[in-house]
Amino acid sequence: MRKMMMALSAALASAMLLAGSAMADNLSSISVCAGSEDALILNAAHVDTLEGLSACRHIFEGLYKLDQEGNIVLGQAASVETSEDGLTWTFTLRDDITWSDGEKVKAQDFIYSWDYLISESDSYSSLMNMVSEYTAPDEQTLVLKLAFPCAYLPSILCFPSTYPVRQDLVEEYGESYATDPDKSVYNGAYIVTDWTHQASLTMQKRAEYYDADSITVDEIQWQLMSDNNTKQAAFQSGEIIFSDGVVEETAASLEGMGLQYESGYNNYTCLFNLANGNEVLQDVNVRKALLLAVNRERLVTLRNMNDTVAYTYTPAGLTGSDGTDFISTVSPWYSEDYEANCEEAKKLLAEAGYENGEGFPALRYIVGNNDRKAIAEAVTGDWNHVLGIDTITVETVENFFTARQTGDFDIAYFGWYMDYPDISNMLGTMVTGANDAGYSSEAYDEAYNSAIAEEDEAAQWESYRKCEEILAEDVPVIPFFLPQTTFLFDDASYDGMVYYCGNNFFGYLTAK
Amino acid sequence: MAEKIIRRVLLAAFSLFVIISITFFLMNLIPGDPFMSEKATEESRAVLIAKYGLDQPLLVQYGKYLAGLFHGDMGTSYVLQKGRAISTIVTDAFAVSVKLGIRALLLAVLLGVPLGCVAGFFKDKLPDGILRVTSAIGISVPGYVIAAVLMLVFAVKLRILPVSYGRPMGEIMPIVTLAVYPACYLTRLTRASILEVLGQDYLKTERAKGMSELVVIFIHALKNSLVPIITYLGPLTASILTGGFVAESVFNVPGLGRYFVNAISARDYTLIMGVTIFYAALIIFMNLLCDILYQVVDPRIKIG
Repeated sequence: MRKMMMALSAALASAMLLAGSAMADNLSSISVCAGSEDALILNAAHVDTLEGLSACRHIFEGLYKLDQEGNIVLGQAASVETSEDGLTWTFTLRDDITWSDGEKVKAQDFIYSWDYLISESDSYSSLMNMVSEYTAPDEQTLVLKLAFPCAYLPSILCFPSTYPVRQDLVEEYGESYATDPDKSVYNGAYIVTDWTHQASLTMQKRAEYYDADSITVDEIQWQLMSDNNTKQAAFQSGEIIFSDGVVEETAASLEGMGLQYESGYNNYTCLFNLANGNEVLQDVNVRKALLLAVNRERLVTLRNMNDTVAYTYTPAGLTGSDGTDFISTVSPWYSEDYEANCEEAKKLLAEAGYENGEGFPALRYIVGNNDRKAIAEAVTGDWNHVLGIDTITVETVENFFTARQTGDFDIAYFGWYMDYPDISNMLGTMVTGANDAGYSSEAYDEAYNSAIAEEDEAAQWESYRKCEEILAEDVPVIPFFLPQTTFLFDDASYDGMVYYCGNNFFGYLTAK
Repeated sequence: MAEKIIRRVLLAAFSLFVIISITFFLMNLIPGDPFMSEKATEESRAVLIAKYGLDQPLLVQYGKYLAGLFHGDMGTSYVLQKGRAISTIVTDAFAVSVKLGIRALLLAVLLGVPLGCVAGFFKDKLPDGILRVTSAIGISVPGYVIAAVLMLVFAVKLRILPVSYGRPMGEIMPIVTLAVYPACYLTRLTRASILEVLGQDYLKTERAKGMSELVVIFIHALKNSLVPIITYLGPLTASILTGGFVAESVFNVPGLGRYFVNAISARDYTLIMGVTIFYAALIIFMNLLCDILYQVVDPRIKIG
């Protein structure tokens, strides 16, 4: 009898162990902070913040999605066929995809969503501009006709703005669609179960999600915090395992304790106002002199955020099919030899008629916050030190974006955080009408348009290189450095966070 | 009497109308609009501005806003909680602020008044000295410093209290942060007020009758020195309900105080209006109530 009891308890114990190890694969609940309430927009047509985009990637899904490695793979679509000219993409939807209220996800849902995205006219309403026509011949088929053979279409269709919304709910709730858990339905891996506005949002894994087996986190709590000190303290105290914000001055102390740097495909620059700024900026020699006189190494040291010096407008990391980094094929805008750059700059400024900065007019250099002011002042310091120009003043303006869009500046901060890793997303910012510099070059637009229409990568890159060369020649913008994206993540305890262009997906996390 | 009250109510309604109008026009004087962002294009911004009618003449917008308000419609938030009804946002958030504020108020009174008595009792002795110094520090240290120190000690180092409000015991640090200043102020106020009363004749009589100093201070002196304290409680209640910005943002409390600042920086027009109208109405109503009560309690006080 005793033996039997022992055997039984041993069996029980091993069963419990087994159960324990099976449980360990799935995390029951994690807590993260990716921003504050105002950034948490869960309406695909309106979402334009990193936090909102990250959250949407958990609860909605487009034709494409991100896999465990952060690659773009088919999501709601089971297959795709591309016509020979690359202009027609035919998607067949999976037959096991549903909304969280049990209804099937239909091709018409996508059609409605794209109409809705365009009609709502928010930040990303022109994201699908390359698609000239989209139709749904039946419930499971979507046909997209493109204006040019756009190789990066999957990045677009993986972007949350193109995810489906449900017509009946959008029409029922209007403006307040998706502002509370009961005012939306979800077709992604998670559903929103609770939203205490301004405090936290809870997502639960959806058992009916077709790929539920790959999702290893059962519940995600999004803590909504606005203050970086609070975020960092919550991370340090173990309350959250991810924080999108760090306190810049003290971040270095968290090196090795969760501080992470990721390439964000970002750049950090300043723009000249060529349309209605001071006349002196019309002289390309002046712009070039200002471009060359900046000591970028010093800016990087000053920021102390793991940035790298920019030698081109396009950031590093955009690789071709053979792994070559695009910018390694572009000739740098300036030499690595700062002294030589300065000599050249002095010469150019003298040619422009302002030897040693004499007679240089007063210019306004506007920025939106004090961190950027510090960098701008370091730059004007270089201009003063090297070129003798002491008439450029840096100003933090309250309503920075209005000021820049309405052209109320001579020089202004500009930084572009790419939405998807395709060169077009960066170089598109300098096309006529798209930039706040008032820069317009026919040659540039032509090179850009032929690049995006090109199917062959080598020929496409040739055109993109031309864009870079034209920019380096015209200097509507001065690249400074390539900032990294900084965040806190408890990588000592967890594995498997997907990071993609400033967005995060937490559903594949596992305990270490 | 009834006529006077009606007149007073009408006056209150008029004040509210004036506040609404001034806020509306001042708000529109701030440069910028709610739809600015790095990713927004000029065209998309223009469409949104037209969609919300912000391109119409200011007077037309004003008329429309008043008409909506008259029907109880304060619109929806443009930025901070895009799409949510202002009335829901304000009432939800105010409920949290009240819950927190009342407990902070109680804590401040329960600490400040007895400590003030103690300081008065030990006038110019060691306990008085300690209390005077600590309360002076408590008054002069800004709220965000208190919040940061509390967070660093109790959440990051000792890990005994959570950073965010939503967690168990998460209310403790925001309540303490809110209570420090009024508690210290009340300590000093009670001390001063007790010392003033202590010199009066009727207390000399009490002492002559052989009452202990403790009874004299806590029972007889305190009762009469409560008048300035109660007077202070009025504005204190208002400030604790409205001034929770620091505690709310540091400890992530979903209260209304944060909107005071955030709504303005985000140019969330409807929310700015909603928060202002709500607080203005609250304060006007409180004043009205006080005036009417005075009249009831003491007919010699004239209202109007």
